[in-house]
Amino acid sequence: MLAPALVGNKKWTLEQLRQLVGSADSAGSQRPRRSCSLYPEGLPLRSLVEVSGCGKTQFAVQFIQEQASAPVAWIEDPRRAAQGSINPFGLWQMNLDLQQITFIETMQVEWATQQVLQSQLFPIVICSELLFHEKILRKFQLFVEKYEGLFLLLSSEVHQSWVPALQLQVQRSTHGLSARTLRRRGVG
Amino acid sequence: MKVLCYFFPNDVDVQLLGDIFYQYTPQMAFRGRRALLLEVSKGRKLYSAEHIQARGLVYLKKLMILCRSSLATDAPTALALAAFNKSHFQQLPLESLIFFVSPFRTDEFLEKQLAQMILYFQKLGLRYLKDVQTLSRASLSARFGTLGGLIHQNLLSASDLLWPVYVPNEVVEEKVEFDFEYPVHNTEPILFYLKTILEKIAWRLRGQGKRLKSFYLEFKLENKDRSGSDLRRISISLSNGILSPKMIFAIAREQMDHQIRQNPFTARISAFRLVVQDHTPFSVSQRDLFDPKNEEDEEGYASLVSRMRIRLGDQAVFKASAVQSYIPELNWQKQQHNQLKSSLQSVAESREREFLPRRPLRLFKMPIPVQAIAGFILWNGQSVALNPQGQEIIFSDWWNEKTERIYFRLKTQTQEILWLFKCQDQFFIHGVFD
Repeated sequence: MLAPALVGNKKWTLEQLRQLVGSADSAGSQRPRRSCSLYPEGLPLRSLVEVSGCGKTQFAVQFIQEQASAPVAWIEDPRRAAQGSINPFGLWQMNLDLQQITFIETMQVEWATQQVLQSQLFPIVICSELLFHEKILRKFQLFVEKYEGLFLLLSSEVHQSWVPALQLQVQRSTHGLSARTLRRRGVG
Repeated sequence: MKVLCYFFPNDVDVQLLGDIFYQYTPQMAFRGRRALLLEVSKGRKLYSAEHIQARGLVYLKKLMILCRSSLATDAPTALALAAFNKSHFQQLPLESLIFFVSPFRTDEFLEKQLAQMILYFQKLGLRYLKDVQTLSRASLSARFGTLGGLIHQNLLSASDLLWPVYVPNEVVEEKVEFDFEYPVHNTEPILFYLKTILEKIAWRLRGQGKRLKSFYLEFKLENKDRSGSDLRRISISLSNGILSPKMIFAIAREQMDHQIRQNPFTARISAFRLVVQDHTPFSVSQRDLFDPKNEEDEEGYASLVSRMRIRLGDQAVFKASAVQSYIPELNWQKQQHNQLKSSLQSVAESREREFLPRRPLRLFKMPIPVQAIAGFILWNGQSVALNPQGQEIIFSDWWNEKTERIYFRLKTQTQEILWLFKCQDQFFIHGVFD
């Protein structure tokens, strides 16, 4: 709670108050963004972004393509591949440079993701089809906030979690892929 | 011609120094185990002689080797200046004549002959080498025979001396023996020595333009273990070759700890040796002083991959490359080559990208059999009409059992695109165009 002396008699706007408590900073809108043609606002850096819906992998691939050879870590758990494991040949057919991507296939996903995020070597970290506990997601969020990274979580169904800074729903139509915002943390 | 000489008051490991200094010049020679001579004028466009001298002193200091160094225009003068700690030829005493007679090897017989000659010179009132230079060849030869002639010739034209050929070591190996009365029972002392040894190994390989890729540590145990051997070997792999001794040590320590935890020593250790198994060439490039992040990232990446492989297994972390094959599960392979940003090109030709129909981004490791009933299949709780699109027939390779798969796409009500195939009247879902 803010001290009355700090607020005083001045009429504060909601946005000013949010900035005062740092909420605006923790929200995605104030952060630098990585451009993404499928999501014109761009994806906020130092954030956890959840992408769901049919075409989420294609969304991720197109996003990687636009990031000019930034190293990518792609983490998967072979046990939880409800929609199959990633097919590197399919990525290559979409003109992706496979040397850009380090694949990690493990059942110890939590440990592997933590190592990858702590190393701060990968501007883009992708985890697909993984269910993490809220606390674990929060931990990952704190790690990714420490560098100019972006943690993309590809899920079949949207997490009911407050941790992702942005939750996107990808849809496939006759015009191609489109992404709409499901939820955004903080202002904006 | 410029010759750099390091003169050591105590015996040194000449192989170690030879490997380290090989990066500056291949023309080097040793005089016993007490002096190292380097002909450094050929590489003057890369390094000045003074620069090599200073760097050499840093290496020797790190190795805790005491030495005196000197620079001269020929090998005997450089040796004599370093040995007698003088700065000018004019100051060299008569005793330095030995270096002019035999600069590249020690010879006791010659030394005795020279001692007598020096006594004669002293009786004649000569004190310095410069005084001997004033004597004519005829007088020296007449009094001292061929040795006199040799001294006159070498004093006048020492730079024309023929240098022996230096051959670098093929096998790089370092060994540590613990005190016989106090064998080691934990890894702490081993790690203490390992750090120094790895530094030496990394320098030696660097001198030969290589970097360490894999090595093994062989421990000599005090008693035989359960397998009946008193030798225990631990292999360390460094994925893509690492230059930095600090990084090699960190990875080696992790891998060693992991292997010892799994299979502890059953006896105390009396000695161990490190043998380099594999190395890769590295190109010397200028360090980017303004953006050293790339180099740090590569080292950090090697460390991360190594750490993950220890815990998750060798196959868990990989890069992939495309392979020419029509069989969907066979058209990519894991690569063990590891660099954060690799310049390797994909094996398959680029035209194959367009030649093969688009494959799904997700594949099942094992195709999932589905039942087709009345023109529908059941997938994730929804019935999907068998309305095939984009048919493609794939045959197995001729050398395998003959099978035919008819692939097609199916669109579900939730806009999901499945990749199915029919094989012997059975339907399988092989992937999802996610």
